[in-house]
Parts: sequence; structure tokens; C-alpha cells
Amino acid sequence: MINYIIRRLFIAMFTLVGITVVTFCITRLAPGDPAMAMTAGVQDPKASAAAYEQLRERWGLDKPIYMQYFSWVKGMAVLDFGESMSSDSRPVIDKIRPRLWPTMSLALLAIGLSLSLSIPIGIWSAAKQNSYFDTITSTVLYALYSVPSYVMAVPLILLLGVKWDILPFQGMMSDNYDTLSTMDQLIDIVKHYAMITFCFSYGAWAYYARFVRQNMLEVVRQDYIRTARAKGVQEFNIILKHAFRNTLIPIVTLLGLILPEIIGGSVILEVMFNWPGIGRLFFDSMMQRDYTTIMAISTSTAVLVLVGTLISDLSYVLVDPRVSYE
Amino acid sequence: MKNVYKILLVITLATVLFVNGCTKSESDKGVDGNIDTPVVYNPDNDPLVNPDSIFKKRPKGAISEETIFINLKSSPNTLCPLFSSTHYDSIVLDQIFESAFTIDKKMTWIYSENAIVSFNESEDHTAYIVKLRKGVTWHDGTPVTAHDMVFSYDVVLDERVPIVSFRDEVKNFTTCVAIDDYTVKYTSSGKIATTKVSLQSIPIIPKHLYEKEREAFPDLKTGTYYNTLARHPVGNGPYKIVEWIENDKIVLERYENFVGEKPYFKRVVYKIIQDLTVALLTFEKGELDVFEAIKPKQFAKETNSESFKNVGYKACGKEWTYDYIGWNQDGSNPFFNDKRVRYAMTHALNIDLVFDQVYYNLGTRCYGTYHPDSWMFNNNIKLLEHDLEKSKKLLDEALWLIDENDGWRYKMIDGHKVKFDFEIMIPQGSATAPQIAAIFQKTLKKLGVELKTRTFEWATFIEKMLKHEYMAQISAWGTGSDPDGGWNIWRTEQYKEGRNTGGYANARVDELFFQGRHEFSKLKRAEIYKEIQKILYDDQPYLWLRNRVNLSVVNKRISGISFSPRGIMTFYPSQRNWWIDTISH
Repeated sequence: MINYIIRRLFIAMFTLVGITVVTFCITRLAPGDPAMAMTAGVQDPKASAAAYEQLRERWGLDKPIYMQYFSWVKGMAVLDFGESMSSDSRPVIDKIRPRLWPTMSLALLAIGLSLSLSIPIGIWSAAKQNSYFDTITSTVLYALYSVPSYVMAVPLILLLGVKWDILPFQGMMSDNYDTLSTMDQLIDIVKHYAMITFCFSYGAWAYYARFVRQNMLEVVRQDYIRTARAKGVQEFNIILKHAFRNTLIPIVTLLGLILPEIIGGSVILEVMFNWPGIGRLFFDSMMQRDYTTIMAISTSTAVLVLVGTLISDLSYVLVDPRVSYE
Repeated sequence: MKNVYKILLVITLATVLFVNGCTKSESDKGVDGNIDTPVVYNPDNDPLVNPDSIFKKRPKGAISEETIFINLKSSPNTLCPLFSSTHYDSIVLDQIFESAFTIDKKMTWIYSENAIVSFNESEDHTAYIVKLRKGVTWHDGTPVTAHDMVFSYDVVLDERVPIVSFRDEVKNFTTCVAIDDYTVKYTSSGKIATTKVSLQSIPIIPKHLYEKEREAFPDLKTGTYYNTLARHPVGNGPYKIVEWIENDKIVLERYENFVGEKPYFKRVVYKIIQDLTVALLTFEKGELDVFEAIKPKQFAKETNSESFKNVGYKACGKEWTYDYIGWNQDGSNPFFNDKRVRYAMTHALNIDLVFDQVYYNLGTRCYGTYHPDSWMFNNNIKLLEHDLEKSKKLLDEALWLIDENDGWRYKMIDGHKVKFDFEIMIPQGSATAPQIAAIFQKTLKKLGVELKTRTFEWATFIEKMLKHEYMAQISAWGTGSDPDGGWNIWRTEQYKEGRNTGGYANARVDELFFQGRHEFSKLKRAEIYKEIQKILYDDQPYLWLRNRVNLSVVNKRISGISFSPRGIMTFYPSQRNWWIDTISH
């Protein structure tokens, strides 16, 4: 088992290096660079040419690409993400840090919501296959699934935010947050999370519910379930104690793959709800060709993907006694 | 569940959704609320546009404890005046820093009486003496002196500081010295007429704060100290910064020790909302007071609802900005270096249709580079009108002849048959360019010319423009406060160095720009630029589309708005004169 983990980590390192090299080169191959993005609007061409050269030198863009990559790797070795290649020049870590919590909390909440809704629905749909419940929930969930999140967001905001005025749709807290009592502050935060969490998560409900339902149906057809029924075990126990445990296997592997979503965020929703998350930072950095920020976010996402798949594979061992990595 | 019932359920649901989605909505009603009124929008018929109450002037000395909420479409990048580069930086910086020299709502150069007592220009234009007002302090209490101005000048010219926008303009001043604590003397060569205007470009920063870590970080940008200074600036203006919450809002509070005229609002909150639809909805909820630069479609169609009428008015003011289609006439394509073809294109575009359908009649016909309200406008220009017959004739003359077999136009060039098939480049995010291109495409097809469009994101669009890798492009220019700004758009040598991306070349225009830069008499300058405007319009290097208007929405309680050629915000005193008319309410 330890050998397996060491081997996987080794492979992961190589994969990570490959990912960073590709990302590094692709971003620099795209037309334009951060110096051009910053000097493009300038009226006087002589001034902008001088500024352009100065910025390129400052950010090391005039050096050959392999040298740039090595300086970046050197920085990464001490976890120095560098300075943002945009007009505020702040350290990248300062730009990313305040946005981690909004994105992560939103993603975790959304995933928690999706799973706690879809697993029971999936189980019940499988248990009562083709019943009213099964058909109606499937239809409703697929209808939701077919609506993109940004299309759903606008009428929601219009209805709940403007017309009926029951939920806020801007940012993480109200303008008068500081003046509220602790209880009210909590309620304020919950209200702000409400709409965006819904928009972020509902697409996954159909997917997870269907996933659970499918696996349950397969498990329920197994011989040992038939045996348990024949032995007189209660239906409730059969479903939850015997069948559900075996559907956990695919769900656990699914969880590992959800990990990268946590830091990815959703650009469109973050823009619409003015949510200070990483998705928007990533998008803006791409537009400005802010190479250092792009690399920092891409690398972190890549690390999470690799860690996620590793956890996923390892938990497979824990959950399924048939599997071992010896 | 029986299959029949399942199918019925699905059909019912589908029908309900269909019926709901396909009926006419609020925005399809005419401005008078009638669904049968023709839907062509005209701001002159809109009762919500430019009501008198929003322009009512603020009584002198009127002041309050109120807060005003203003929308910013994008977060400022920095609040250090040295490195500011975007419109949004300027909007906030204008409140925190008092510029000694600026422009008023007529785009006239003025000096601010909140900072300057007198300004003297020598007869030969070589020396400028500026006397500062005493008693002006930085937000930390330190007095603003001539030494701050001299320091600022030195810093701008210091090559180690990565200043993007205005270093070259400031080089017009050969020296800058402090004669005493409150007097500054600038000298210049005396030959360039726009030197005085360049004074606007020197920001004033606090010497005692900026020199602190200059040895360690000579670029005045890196390091925690300077980073903090850029995000929590110490200025000399009527507002000081309270907090800047990343991508959420910037809160300013009135500086009570400001010696000049204090603004009305005690607090200013700039909310940063990127999505325009959501910003408009926030406005309708009453949480925004002023929202500048909304899209024409929103102005015409999405601001007639009940919820809007309850809270807001619309403001529509002329701007010295024009939209245009630029032709690449450097010879890389066989079409647009021929003046007859360019004229044919202008005659081909149904400009009235574009105004009705794309611009919603928000804007005015464009007579070329300068705006009808400006001092350099030539009012002897006759507009080229939509005339398909003229286009046909001109294209025939230019030997682009229709091939009877497929209806397209071809020309024999070097023994090859070349089709009139061109591509127009559109910047991503343009609200109007794709629709204009669509209308143009239809008309050109009738003429036998094929038009294709390609959209590029902004950075790529700019790069292609600068590399001259295009045939035609749609964008816009603003006329700066001085027409000399056109130097790097129209002079021949600017093809290599500047913004003359289409390769326009006219020796007379080159000479006129040179004359204009060195002529000090305003009357003579006006004649020079009027001639430039006429020659440019005659040459049609651009298909001038429209003069833009500034479109804003304003909460009913706000007054004191004025228009300037740059909009409602970035001139002096603009935002500072906004107030709430409690007398009439």
C-alpha cells in the first residue's frame, strides 16, 4: 500500500510538471502579453513604447521562455507565487487569499446540498422504481439540469431579488452588516448565500440522483439482496444497510473528482452575483494576460485534481474490501 | 404511472412554458405603455429623459450627512495617481486627490481654486509660475507645499518608475523648481502650444510619504509600504478613503479639514458591479443612485418598467466620442486604398436604419473627427448620405464589376480575378458592432460585395490593429481636451509608431498638425483644425457612424448633474456638485 502511494506521488509529480509546462507555454503563445494589455490604451505612442519595454523587462518577459519557466519554478519551490503582472503589482498570494474562502465555502455548501438532496432522492427513486415519485422527480430534475446556471440566475434575481424583494443578490453581505446584531449578521450571510448556492448546485442534482438511482438499481438486482428478502429482512434495512452501502463505492470515487471544483468556481455566477471568488479572478487574469496569477491558479487546480484522484483511488480500498493495492 | 398520463403531463408543462415565454413583455411596449405603439425608440419622446430636477444647481455651501451610491463597472486597479491608467481609477482618484490643473465641463483648461491661488504664463511661453493656496493639507494633516509639486515632477521623469501614460507630455517642461514653500516655477522650450495642457498630467503626490522607502524600492511600486499606499492613498482632496473591499466597494468619507469648497455628501460608496443587467436591477431596488454608461438597449428598452419609474430618471448628454468603421488602406488588401471604394461603402450603409435599430436614436450624425459643439468644428461639411445607386456607380468606376454568373463583384488584378470579399474585425463585448455589421452585410450583398465578420477579444484586437493585420474594423475614438491628440492617429509616420493603424497618408494633414502644435493663437488653431477635419472627411479613411451620447440613470432624489464631452463624471467639479434637493421634495 505504501509502495502504491509512493508510486502514485511520483507519477503525480511528473504529471504536475507536464501540466505547468503546457500551461506556461500556452499562455505565452496567446497573442498579446501583460505589458501590451497595460500600455494599449495610452495615447502617446512613444510613451507607450517606452513603458512597454520597461514593463517587459520588469516582468522578465524579454528573456527566453525556458529561463522564464525556471525562474517561475524556483519561486514555486519556496511557494513564492510572484507578483501580479497587472497595474496593481500586488503579490499574487495577496490577490488569491481573500478569494479562497468565498469560492471554497460556496462550493462545499453546494456539494453538500447536492449530495444531501440527491442521495435520498436517488435511493427512493430506485426503491420505488417507476412510481409517481420516481417519474416526477426525474422530470423536474432533468428540467433543472437543462437550464444553464446563468439563464436560471436572471429570472431568479428578478423575482426573488427585485419583485418580491426577499433575498439579496449582491456580494456576501449587506452594506449595513457592521451595524447588525450577531443573529442578524448570521441571517444576512445565509440570505446572501441562498441564491448563488442554488444556482451553483442545482445542475448537479439530476446527475447525482440519477447516478445513485442507477447504481442502486444494479445492486438491488443482486442475488444477495434476493436472499435477504427471502430471509425476511425488512425492506427498509435491505435498502439502507445492504444495498446502499454497496452504492457508496462509486459515490466515494465521485467525491474525489469533485475536489477541483472547489477551487474552480464559476465565472459567470460570480460576475452576476458579484461574488468575490476565484473564478472571476481567473477570468480577469486571462483577459489581462496576468501570467503569474494564471499560473498560480492553474497550478493549484492541477494539484487539487491530482490529490483528488489519489484520494479517490485510496478510498476505493477502504470502501471496497475486494480491492487492494498490494 | 400509466404512460398516457405521463405524456399528458409533459405536454401540459411544455405548453405552459411555451405560452409564458412567447408573449410580449413589458419591454416590448412603447414608452407610453401601449403595446401597439411602434417600437422605434427616440429619447426626445421619452418623458423620463433629462427632467429638469436632475440638473438643478446646488446652492453654494449646501452640505449634508447623506451617503451617495455610485456604480463602477470595473474595479480600479490602483489608487496611486502615478500608475492610474483606467477610467475607473480616475473616477475615484478625482475625489481623493485635488489636481492643481484640470478641465471644466466645457473641456476648457482651468486651475483649481481649492489648490492654486494664481497662475502666470510668461509672454514667450517659456516660464509658468504657480502660487499654491496656503492651508491645504494632506489627509494626515501635513501641509501641501511647493516641494510636493517639485517631488511629483521629479518622480514622473524618474526612469525607474514605471509610468505608463503621461511621461512624454511632462517632458515638455524642462525644469521645475520651488521658488519658496508655496511657489513653483516650470520652464519649457516655449515652442509647443499644448505645453500648458500637459500640466494636467502631473499628479501631485505627498513627498513626505513617497520618499520614505525610495532607496529600497525606487520604482515606488513594490514592497508592502508602497502597495499599502496605493490601496489606502493619502490625498489632498475633499474625500479620504475609508475602506476598499476588493471587488465589492470603495467607501470615501468627506475630509472635514478641506479648505476648498466641500462637497455635499458626507460619504460616497462606489459599488463595483460588473454585470450591467444586475447593476440595473440593483438600481431599480433603490440601492444605487448614479449609474453611468448603460447600454443603449437598456436605456431604450429596459428602463420603462414600473419598478424603474418608481426610482429613477434617465440622463442623455452629448459626448465627444465617435463610433467608426476604419479601413486598412496600406495596400495589404486590394479594396480600401481606392477612395472611390471607400465612398461607395459610406453611401452603401443605411445609416438611418442603424440609428433606429441599433442605436435607438441615441446619438447624432457624425461629421468627422470633431464634435459640432467644439471650438474646432468645421460646419461646412456636407454629409455623405445613403445612396445605393451612387455606390454602384463608384464600384463600377473602380472596376469592381458584377459577374453575371454569381452576382458578386470581381476585379482583374495582375491577371487574376479577385472577388470583393472582405472581413471586418469586431472587438468582443461591443454592444452595437455585430448588429451594424449584420445590417451592412445585407446591403452589401445587394451590391455584390461580401462582408464577413470576426470577433476578437480585446487584447488580440489591439494587437492585430497595431500589426495592421485587418481589412476593416469597428471601434471608437474620443476627442481629448485638445485636438493635438489626433497627431498620432492621422500623421503618416504614425503608421509605424502610433495609432495610424490603417496607413492613412496625407502630406497636407501632416503639415497642419505640425502647425497646430506650434500655434499659440486660438483663432488660428481653430482654422488649422477645421481644415484638417474637412480634408479627413473628404478622404473617408473612416466610415464615421455616430457621435455618441452619454447614457446614465440617476435616482430621482439626485440633482446637480451636468454633462461634459466626457460624460457626467471626469471633469471638474462633476461629482462634487451632486446633491439632494430637499427643498422641493
